[in-house]
Amino acid sequence: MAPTLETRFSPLTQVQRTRLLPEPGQVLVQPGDWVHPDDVIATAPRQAPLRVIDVAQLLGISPERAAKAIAVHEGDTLSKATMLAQTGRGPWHRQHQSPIAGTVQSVVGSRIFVRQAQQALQLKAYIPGIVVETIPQRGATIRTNGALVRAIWGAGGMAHGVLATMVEYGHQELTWGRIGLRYRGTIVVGGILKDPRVIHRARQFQISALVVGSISPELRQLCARSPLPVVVTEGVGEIPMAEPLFNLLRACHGHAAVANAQGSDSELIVPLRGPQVEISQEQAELQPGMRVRLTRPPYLGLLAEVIRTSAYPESTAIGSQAKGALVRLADGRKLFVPLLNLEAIE
Amino acid sequence: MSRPVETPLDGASAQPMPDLTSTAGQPAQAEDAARSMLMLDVGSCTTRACLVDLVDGRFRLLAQAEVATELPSGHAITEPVREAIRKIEEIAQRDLMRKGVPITPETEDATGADLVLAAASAAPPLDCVLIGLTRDLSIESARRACSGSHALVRQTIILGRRAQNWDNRAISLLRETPPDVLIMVGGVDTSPTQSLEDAAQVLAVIYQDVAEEKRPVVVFAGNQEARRPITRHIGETFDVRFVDNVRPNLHTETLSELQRELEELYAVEKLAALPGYHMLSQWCSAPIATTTEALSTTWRFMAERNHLAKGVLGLDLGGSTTYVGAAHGGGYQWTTAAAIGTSIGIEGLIDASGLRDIARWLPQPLEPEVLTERLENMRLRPLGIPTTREDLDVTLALVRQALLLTIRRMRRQHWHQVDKQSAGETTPSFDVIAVRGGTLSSMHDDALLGLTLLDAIQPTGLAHLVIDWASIWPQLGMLAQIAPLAALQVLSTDSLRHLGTVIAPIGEASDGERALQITFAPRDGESREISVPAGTIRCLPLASDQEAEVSVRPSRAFDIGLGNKGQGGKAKVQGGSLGIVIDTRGRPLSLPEDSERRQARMQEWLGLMKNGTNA
Repeated sequence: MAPTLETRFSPLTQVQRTRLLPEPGQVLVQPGDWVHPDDVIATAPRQAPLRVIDVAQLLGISPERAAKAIAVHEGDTLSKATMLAQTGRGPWHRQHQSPIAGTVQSVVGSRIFVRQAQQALQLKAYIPGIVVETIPQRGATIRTNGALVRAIWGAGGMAHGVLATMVEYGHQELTWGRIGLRYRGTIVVGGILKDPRVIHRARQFQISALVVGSISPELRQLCARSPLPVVVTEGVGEIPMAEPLFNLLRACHGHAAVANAQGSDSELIVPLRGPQVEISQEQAELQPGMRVRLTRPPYLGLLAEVIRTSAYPESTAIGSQAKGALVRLADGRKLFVPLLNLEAIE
Repeated sequence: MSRPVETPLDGASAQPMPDLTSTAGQPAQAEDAARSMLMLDVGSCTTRACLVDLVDGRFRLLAQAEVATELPSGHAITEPVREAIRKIEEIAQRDLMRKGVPITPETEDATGADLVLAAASAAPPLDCVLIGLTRDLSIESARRACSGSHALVRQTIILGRRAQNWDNRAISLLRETPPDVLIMVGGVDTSPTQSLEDAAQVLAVIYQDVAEEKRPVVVFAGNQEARRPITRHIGETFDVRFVDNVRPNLHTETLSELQRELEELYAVEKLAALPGYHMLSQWCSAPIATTTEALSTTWRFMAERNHLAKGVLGLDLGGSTTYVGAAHGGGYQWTTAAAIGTSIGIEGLIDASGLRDIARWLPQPLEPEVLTERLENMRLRPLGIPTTREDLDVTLALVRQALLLTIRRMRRQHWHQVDKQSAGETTPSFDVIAVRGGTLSSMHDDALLGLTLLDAIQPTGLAHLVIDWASIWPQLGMLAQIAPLAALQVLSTDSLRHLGTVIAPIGEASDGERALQITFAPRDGESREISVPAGTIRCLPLASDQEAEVSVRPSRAFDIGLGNKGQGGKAKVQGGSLGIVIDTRGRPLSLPEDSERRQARMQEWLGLMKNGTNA
């Protein structure tokens, strides 16, 4: 049995994604329906928000005094004009109105807990395609054909838009000056992301998402906090986006795409019309001639071609034993690389 | 100058120590019922399987295999398990599954296995919120208990009179992403309970309309007087567990009950919730154990079977969790550093110790930015293995720091009670130091491995160093409960890689001053007298199957683990690939502040280890 490698990128494949509600709800689509990314495919009642009003804090008095001043009770309906508490007596008395509307769920000490109106949770399709299966009360499976990029990391959630490649090469830095209003709503593709201003500007101009080869380490926390989806295909540092991958994304410039930036499950899908294709495989058999990406320093991000695979463990450069492959780098150097340090590039 | 007293170094008598094969030679009659065992360990990064069977009347390890666990959302843990078993089938040329399910018992044509046993640690740690009265007392104690368990504290709520922690943000977070566990602490026993009662009422309000299955478990480890009112307020809303107060009075800290409860919850709430867990448990001949529980059995088994007076110190370094256990005198102490490891746990390690403390273990200069990038990429691709010396050095810096940090937690939590003389910054003396972890067992350079462990563990006195080369100790822990002889035979014959015996005195002296005078008498060789100065490492070759008698006389600046400086002792010791390693660098080990000097020292120490090993 030939060893297998994780595939990171497929130019044309069949992609199926199952979208599920976190709570049981109502599924709004049926098998055979065509859906767009923003179509709501299922809905569920969302937990009503619970707000707390700390009367002691609001009035700047002790919790004991505040507890005595509270003038509402469990089950009372509040509007923004409802009197919550009354302090002082006679001509010095003051009334304090509720800052929010809702129903008093409980009063504990000086705190009033208010339940606000219930909202509905809407589950969107995320990928455009055909509904192939519905899961009662939970969601649906959607299928599309297209290019699939399994990223190494991402943060910021889901987004869709037209793909806009902003650099000439996968090793070029994506600079803030390239981000402008005309790219509003697009998924911007760049090589290396080093400047935090790119993220701020992309948010300012309502860019849908960023797709880059690598990011500087100090940007990871910023990306994790930012609502802007950022998809990273290679890693951290100054690693160029792999050439075949960059070429594909450049070829898809102007196509609609969807990005899902969620940790190690991040991906980019570019729906494409094409012949009937196989469903995407996460693993590919390692074979001579295959193009691979090296994933461990000092070769991290380099592309190579497999010359031969090893059936038995062989010695690495530091003497440890591992199964792997002899590969040829672009500069002609030959290396034995453990399987665990390789990814299939296409 | 008084003459040092000769005392047995191993704490009991000058017996060979530790003879981990003492009863392993017995024929396997006791376990006739089970002849073959398929054993599994599902870790967060790696799933391992091994097959044990009778060979010439003794239980032997026939095959072991490992695969990446990789559990994308919804994937069952049975998938990597099947893959690992398939690898075993390939290696052992024996059918172990039918239609993807293990065959039990073994059939007449030698397919399947009589027993299938499994341990697991693939679940993320418990997500905990701490609620307490004061940050510096009960909350700090609860935090310590969590840092020694499969638990991570995500949020702390202080109940002080003016504290504003029940704000809208905190409440939304508690409702929208409920933690696994709410840990309530606070108050010495018999103190007022009103604040705790108020907190309980608030919790009841917050979770009143949250689906029952999403509500966290409440573990109450505070003022015992509050138990009854707490039950009254939230007993119907939550699953409430009461354990000993972590601070029964201002001067006492009691963490063990809380930790035991957290470990039980981890097994029930996290491990059992893994997709495929139920199916895996149906395949097994005994309940699935947590990996740490199974390991503790192995280390206790080692200590008890070999009557080791000072016991076994075990260390398990994983990708996401580091675990340390000490079995001695019939007791067992442990600490778990959740989210601290050498791959997925890198972020936790950096958070807990800082990049600088990791970088100080590098024997070559590396720019902080480059190191940060390396570590980030290692975290993103946790399964990769180093293939260059520089990459290996970064990995071993992580190994050192993760072990050091976890041992520090162990020291803070337990060892001041075990050994008052070494309550400071030193590791107590143990007969055996047993180490495991994929990064370590795959290393081929024993000198580098040995130095890494000496730097990280900083053993004291006299200790024999063994490695779980086949990564099967958790499986053997499970086996020990069902078939102890089989476990013992495999443990002693097939699982131990003996690095050697370490002699490491506690104390400090200027480099070059006399530290130890040693008489080294191999059983099959000539006796030698060796003087070892302070600040160095010396290796005396002695093969794994050889023994020697050593007599150690320290200078007045050093204690060889007997509790008194200058007191000498003797012991019979077993060798290993490094032989006898004498480490007089002092305890605690201090590294030069200057990075160039530090790197030069580290390279010098490695040279001494390698030269000694090659001698």
